[in-house]
Amino acid sequence: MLILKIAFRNIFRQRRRSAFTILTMVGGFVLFSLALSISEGTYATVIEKFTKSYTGHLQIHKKGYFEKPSLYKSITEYEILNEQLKKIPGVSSWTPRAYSASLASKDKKTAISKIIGISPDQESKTTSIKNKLKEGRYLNESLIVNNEVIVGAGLAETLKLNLGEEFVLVGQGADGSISNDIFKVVGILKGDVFSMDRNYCYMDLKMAQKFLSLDNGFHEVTIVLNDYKKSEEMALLLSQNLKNANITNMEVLAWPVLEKQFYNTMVFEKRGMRICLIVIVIIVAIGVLNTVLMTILERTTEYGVLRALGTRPIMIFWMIILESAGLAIISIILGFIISFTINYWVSIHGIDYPAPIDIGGFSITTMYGLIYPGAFIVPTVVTFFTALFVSIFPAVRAMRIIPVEAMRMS
Amino acid sequence: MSTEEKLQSNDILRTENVIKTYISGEIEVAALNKINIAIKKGEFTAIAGPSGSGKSTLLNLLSGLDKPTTGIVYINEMPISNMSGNELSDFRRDHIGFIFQSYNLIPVLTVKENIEYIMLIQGIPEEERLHRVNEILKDVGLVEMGNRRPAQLSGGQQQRVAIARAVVSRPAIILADEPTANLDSKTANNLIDMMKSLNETKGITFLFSTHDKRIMDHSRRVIILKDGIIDSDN
Repeated sequence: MLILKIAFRNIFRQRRRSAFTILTMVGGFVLFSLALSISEGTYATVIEKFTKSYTGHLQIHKKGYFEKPSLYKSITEYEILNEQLKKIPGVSSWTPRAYSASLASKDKKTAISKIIGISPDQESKTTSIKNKLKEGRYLNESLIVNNEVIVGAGLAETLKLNLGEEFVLVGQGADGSISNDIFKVVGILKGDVFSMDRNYCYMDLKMAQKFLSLDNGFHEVTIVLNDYKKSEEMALLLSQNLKNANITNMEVLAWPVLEKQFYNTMVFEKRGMRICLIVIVIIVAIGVLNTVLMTILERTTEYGVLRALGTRPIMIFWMIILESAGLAIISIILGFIISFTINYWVSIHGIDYPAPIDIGGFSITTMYGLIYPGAFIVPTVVTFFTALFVSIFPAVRAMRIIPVEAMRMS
Repeated sequence: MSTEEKLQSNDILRTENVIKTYISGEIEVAALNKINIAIKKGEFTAIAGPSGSGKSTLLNLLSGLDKPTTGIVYINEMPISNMSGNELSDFRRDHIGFIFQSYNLIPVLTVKENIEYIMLIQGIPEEERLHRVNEILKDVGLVEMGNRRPAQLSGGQQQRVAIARAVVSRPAIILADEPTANLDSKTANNLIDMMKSLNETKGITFLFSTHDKRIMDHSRRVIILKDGIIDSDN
């Protein structure tokens, strides 16, 4: 209690110096917190956009389809999967898809296109394709098979396709036949050079199944969760549930596996950011160390007197550590208030990049902060323990002071 | 009374052939040479001598702040010269009171807290501590100043607090290193009177290292050091 009192009062003894130290630590805390908030916020935005735009958080395929996609690796047990997915809390929505490569042509122009058969209503509940239309309309859910399609911006550009115009798709049927048909453009998607869906061609799943001779087969169920952070955990749970339901020919994959390149880019950039965080920690550490060393130099005589009066060295040690802890606690409280305010503002308004940047093939124009516990807990722990850690050396020096020599300095 | 005659088993403090040497460059300098002294309970003794005679060195050895090159210092028949670390800290805390030339109060503590400090680290219960603090504040005439910080006191008042701090934990002996050196004549006289009074009324043992003729005049015994040896002891 006594050493706590002395340590606390010592904080206010050299007010200007303590204020400077607190300022250094608060600055470090705020920068640290903001960096984490923006990093997580930006990636959360990108991941949400990325996954909800197309990939989803989880996908179910026939085993081996993801490694080596093939028209023939289709699945037909949609009703069973539907029942399984309904049972799992945390699953927001899901939709079946069928895929194939095809050759698209109009007049004398040809282009490679990826056919994606979708269930229009379920797809619009699951992904944001409906919101990505640049012009035209979305596909209608219909019991009658129709030849309406939505095309990506790239395909429309290459084939000079406009709304209402027709073009030919040539592909391969699952029965070995060559399939071809005329399709009518009802919608064109937005897209820039980074867009991954530039050459996609969306059509009703029933049309795709007919065109590709799949009967009622499809290649994928795309699933969106309430919380993307639980993707890997949910993938395991769903895999186990399918196994328990004796469905052993399917695999459940989470988005970090499905979009490995994007995920790895994100992880790599996060690692790069750690260097910035380490620099912040070093600045804080040097600031605190400087203050504590100066303090000890100034108070050498005082520590000598305390030792002469019978104070044990360990008490001197704790006196210095507690003083640093006090400075750190004040800094953390101030840092929390300031960084919460800044992070909140950035999470609402964002900070615009001078030009769009590409993260894993996805274009972003604004970085947003994210208010999450880690953005405050990590800087709190780092600031507190950095302050304590750098105080150990000066505190050990102080506890080793020889009283006679220390008092001679007065 | 010779030094030999004063060495008896009921001494509060005694030394046996204490020698202290320093290395200055390549030369060994003897600061103290075969010092044998004994202080009994209730004494009011001054160690005097010119600058460089070894007064402060002797006081440092007697208080356990420094170790003799050879010889032994006993306090309450405990050889302190061989103690180390926490043992010596605890011994100083429980048996020795210090009064320094520059007061050396803890600036962030109030007068009361400064006086209470040693009792706190001794683990004396709060009620007893407060009782003793109030009593000693009356003795040193600082009842009204209890909640002030050292910086708000004059030099004389600070030294009174230092005396109170030294006395309040009831040590075996109080070692005072030039306690009047930074004070004006009137304040110094008052303090000497106060310490003399504490010595006479409460039987507190004082040992001074001093140049101050006034302290020597009030002391019942004056040990004169010269070139590291006892020149006289009367």
